[in-house]
Amino acid sequence: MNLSALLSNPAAWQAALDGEERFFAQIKEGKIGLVGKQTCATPPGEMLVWEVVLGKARAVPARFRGWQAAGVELLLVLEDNFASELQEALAGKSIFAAFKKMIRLGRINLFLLGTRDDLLALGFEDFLEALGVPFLGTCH
Amino acid sequence: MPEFEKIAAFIHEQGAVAIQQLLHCGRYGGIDLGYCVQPSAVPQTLPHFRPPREMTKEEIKQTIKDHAEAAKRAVKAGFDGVEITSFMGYLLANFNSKFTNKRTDEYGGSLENRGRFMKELIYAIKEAIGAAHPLCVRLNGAELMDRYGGNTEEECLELMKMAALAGVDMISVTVGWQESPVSSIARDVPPGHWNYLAARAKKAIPGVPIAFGVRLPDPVLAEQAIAAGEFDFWEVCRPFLADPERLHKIAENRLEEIKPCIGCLLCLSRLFRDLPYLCTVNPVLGHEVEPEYHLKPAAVQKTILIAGGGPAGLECAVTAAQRGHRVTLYEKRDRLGGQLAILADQDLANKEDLKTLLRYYETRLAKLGVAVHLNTELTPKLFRTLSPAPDVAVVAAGATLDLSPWLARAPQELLTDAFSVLAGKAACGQRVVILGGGKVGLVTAESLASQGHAVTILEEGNRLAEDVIPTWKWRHTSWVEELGIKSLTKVKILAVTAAGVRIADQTGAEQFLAADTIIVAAPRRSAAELLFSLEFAVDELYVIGDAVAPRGLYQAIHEGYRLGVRV
Repeated sequence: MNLSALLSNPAAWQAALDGEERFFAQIKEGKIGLVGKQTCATPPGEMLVWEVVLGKARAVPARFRGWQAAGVELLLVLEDNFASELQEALAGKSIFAAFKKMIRLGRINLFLLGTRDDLLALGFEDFLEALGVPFLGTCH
Repeated sequence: MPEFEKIAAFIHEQGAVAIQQLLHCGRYGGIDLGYCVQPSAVPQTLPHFRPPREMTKEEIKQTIKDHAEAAKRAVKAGFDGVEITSFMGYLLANFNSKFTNKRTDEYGGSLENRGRFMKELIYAIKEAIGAAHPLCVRLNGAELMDRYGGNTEEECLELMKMAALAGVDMISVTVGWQESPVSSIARDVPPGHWNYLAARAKKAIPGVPIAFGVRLPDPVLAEQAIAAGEFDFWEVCRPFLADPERLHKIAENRLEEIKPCIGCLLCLSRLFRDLPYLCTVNPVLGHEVEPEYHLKPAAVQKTILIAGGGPAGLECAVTAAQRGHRVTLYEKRDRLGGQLAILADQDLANKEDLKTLLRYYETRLAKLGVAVHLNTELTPKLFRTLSPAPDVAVVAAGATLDLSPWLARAPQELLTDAFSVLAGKAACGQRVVILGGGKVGLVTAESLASQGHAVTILEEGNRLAEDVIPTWKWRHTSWVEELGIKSLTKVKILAVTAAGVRIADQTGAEQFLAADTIIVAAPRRSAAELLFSLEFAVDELYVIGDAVAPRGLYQAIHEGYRLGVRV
């Protein structure tokens, strides 16, 4: 299964999200989008959205039509050949560990489409830190 | 203008050339302004900055004009020249980089097009200020943004050549963007690591002077690099925050008096909280105009005893001795530096940064005639034998690890103190569990994992590294991953036995972690007992540093200075 197919199959994600709901616990409301690098560079294309309300995440399919129209607070841009690792992570219900590692390795790029204040108010601080992104930023 | 005239005049009065830097923050400009513009609306990767919008072509033209006008004003104010900056991810860098420039007009696309904004800026500024006033451009030798599709080092070099052809008078080679996911200027990068980028530019662009200083805080290394033809001018930024007298001390060959920049990036940690810069090692930074921070000769010479040779005691001793006080320092261990010295030995980053700071203190104490007694704990009994009695006693005894919160859950003989492990005084088995995921626990874990131990960190709080400054927190968490250290947060530690540790997660589910050694790395407790013993034994009695409350290096040094400068 390629990345595009995986992203357009929310059912494959829901069980994994349910198993890792602790990571969403502090989010009051918000959307996290997942797209492939190719789609991100040349929209439109498949996007998977994690819709979170009061700590409960729901995977829903969506279309990515560019950054301005993404309609999400966070956008995770995945390497297109990431599908096999992703399937393993989904099967093992360990997507956060896999995502954190891939962000560190640069195979997932994380973009923030909301302001810091908005993200803080929506409860994204713990979520971002769980992905290994220092919420208040850093400079190396 | 009058204020800029004052600045330029002051720089000239000190015998220096005044260059005005013009900086449009671009992608990173949305902190105070409420808006953020860049060539294309590429979203932020750091939460600190505002979502950007794309500049129109009219705005680009206007921005170029604004730069030229600003350059003209700078020269009118008395500056000798101007510098524009295409580094760290500011506007000019945004145009130059493939990552942030997705435009399809003549300002985007090919390298030539992406560099057009820079060339037009150079032409406009050169025309505005004339040939008599030099124009320098700061350009990335490496963006370190490869994973986001940023420029390669080769493209960076081509942009430098383009700037040279456009007529700049000097190129300053820099490294990294603010959001680069890898280190460029922190102390996990060895000094001199990036010199090759300057050397490459020097070779490729022989007609234009090259300036460089990224992660090169040591004047000796800089001089060697210049002698080797790697670049022409040494640049210094953060080390000046650590010691603004640096250049004078270098010129007068007083290198041992230079307070080193330790590359901790507290300065930038503050910036990301919209707070003014502070420097760990220079407590005066940001307080230069406050008389309370001015080092003046003491009105009355006093005899001062300092209990504790950690950073707080060392800074207090140096500062008080500089003012003419007679200072004696007692340290119960066989070396100065306190917990900093122990942590420095095990630091996975460049150990020399922290050790250079300790050497600075040792040298200063010796030069200032501070009497240092190692292997001597200042006890009330010792204090009473001193004659004449001192005028001032300073308790700078630091902090110790507090085992008491664990004793209800663990027999004391099963617990090993993290500092004993770090100091090499306690041996560890193969499987190690560390109680506490703060700085002490992390350094201990990293040290042991590097030696091949299987390490697990247990932290009852929400996250690891809560007591670590933001610019270094990520470094610890990435070392934890790289070294395969297992870490569990938000756990409750139920019981410690000879076989291991029983814990419960947030749901109450229990598990047992087998361990050969269980190390306590938190909490820390102030070692301020002496304060109470000496209360009626001395005229002036003070407590500073971790002995007040266990914190970090910057608080220790700052408190040491603030006492030393007024006592």
